Amino acid sequence: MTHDHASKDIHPAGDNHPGDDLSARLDGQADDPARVEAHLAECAECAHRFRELKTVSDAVKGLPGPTVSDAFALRIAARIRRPAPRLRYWPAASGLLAAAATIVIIAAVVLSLRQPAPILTTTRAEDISPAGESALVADILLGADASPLDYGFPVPGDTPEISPEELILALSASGWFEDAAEAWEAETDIDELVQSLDQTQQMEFKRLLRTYEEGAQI
Amino acid sequence: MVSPEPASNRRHPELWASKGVLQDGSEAGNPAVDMQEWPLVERAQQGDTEAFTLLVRRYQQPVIHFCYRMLASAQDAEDVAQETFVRLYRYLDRLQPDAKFSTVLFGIARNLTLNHLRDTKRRGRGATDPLENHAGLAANSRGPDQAARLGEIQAVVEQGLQELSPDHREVLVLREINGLDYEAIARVLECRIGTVKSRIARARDQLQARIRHLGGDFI
Repeated sequence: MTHDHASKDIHPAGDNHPGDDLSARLDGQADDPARVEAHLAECAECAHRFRELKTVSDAVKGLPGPTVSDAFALRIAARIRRPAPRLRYWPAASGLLAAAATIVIIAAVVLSLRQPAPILTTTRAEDISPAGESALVADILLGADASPLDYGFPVPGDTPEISPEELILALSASGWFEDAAEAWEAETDIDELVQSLDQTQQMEFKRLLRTYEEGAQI
Repeated sequence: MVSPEPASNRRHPELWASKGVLQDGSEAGNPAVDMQEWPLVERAQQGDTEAFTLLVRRYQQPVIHFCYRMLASAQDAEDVAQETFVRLYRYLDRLQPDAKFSTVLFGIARNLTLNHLRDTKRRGRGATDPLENHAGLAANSRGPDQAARLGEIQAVVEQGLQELSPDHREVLVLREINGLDYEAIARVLECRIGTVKSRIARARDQLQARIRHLGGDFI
């Protein structure tokens, strides 16, 4: 009989030894606990091995855990209460749409704040300037009672009011994203661009960006 | 289920100063506990964030402890545990009454800890603060000699545990620290119960060998 099992893979197995059931007995999960008990009463080698396994098991059970601060649950509560930006349509393309929407919002806000929004009377989509479109976007973002029809802007269906998703769809169809992105990229320095706005415009710009980040609009 | 022997049979009774798995002392893998969670889960599914916060408070200790033993860093453990609960919240709608809440929760925690270990390995960064506080945690209400001895034992066990492969470490932590039974562990790991059984046996072998190699004379 040997008691030096630790350096080997040691669960006495075979016809007469319980093998992995020895370890499982510790957890009350042996396939045949009565057989293991009977074997332990007769086999000093397995009885010794069982005591060793129990010491290892107890040692791990006794390890202390880290202290959990009260702030832990509060931080999670804060995270789950903050709605994630979400698009209801086109879930597979939501990342692309979110990126496009960001361009729309930033460019629209900046463009609309830098120049007075023209009053558009045309009903022809090809006559609508990017600035006019940005005015529409800005009006909607600002909560104005805006209808794309007021701007002569084509939208899917004949709905008099427009949802953010419909707006993106319509803007995408008219190639507006490319125009806006080009206009945006022409301004090489975003800080410079923002600084060109007056204080009121900057505050409105930041408010709109914050609104977007909180997922309230799109 | 954990079935402690009578104290008189324990070779190191001080090691049984084990924390309750949940804040109320019950075990995370217990089906009865899972049944109790369902009213809270249902409320949370209907948007009651207070109910979800109650679930977080109930399970935060076992989840953070699991992450801590897997990652050996209190800060990383808290970060990963936080992400675990946030992901669970997003998963709530898909939870069915016949699912075991703790199994889902530990399944998420397990996946995130393994991802974290992979990322850490890829970046070539090891555990940031292994064995950082065993001595202080061990010293509560014991004499200095006994506390020092216990601190030594725990340091060796912690080190041995960290030297195990993640496969072996996770089954031991889920079993010994979180108190999950073999069936629950099999669900968390998405493997057969027989695999859990043999893996726990191998893990105990390996840990004993590591402890002896590290000079642990209590085994």
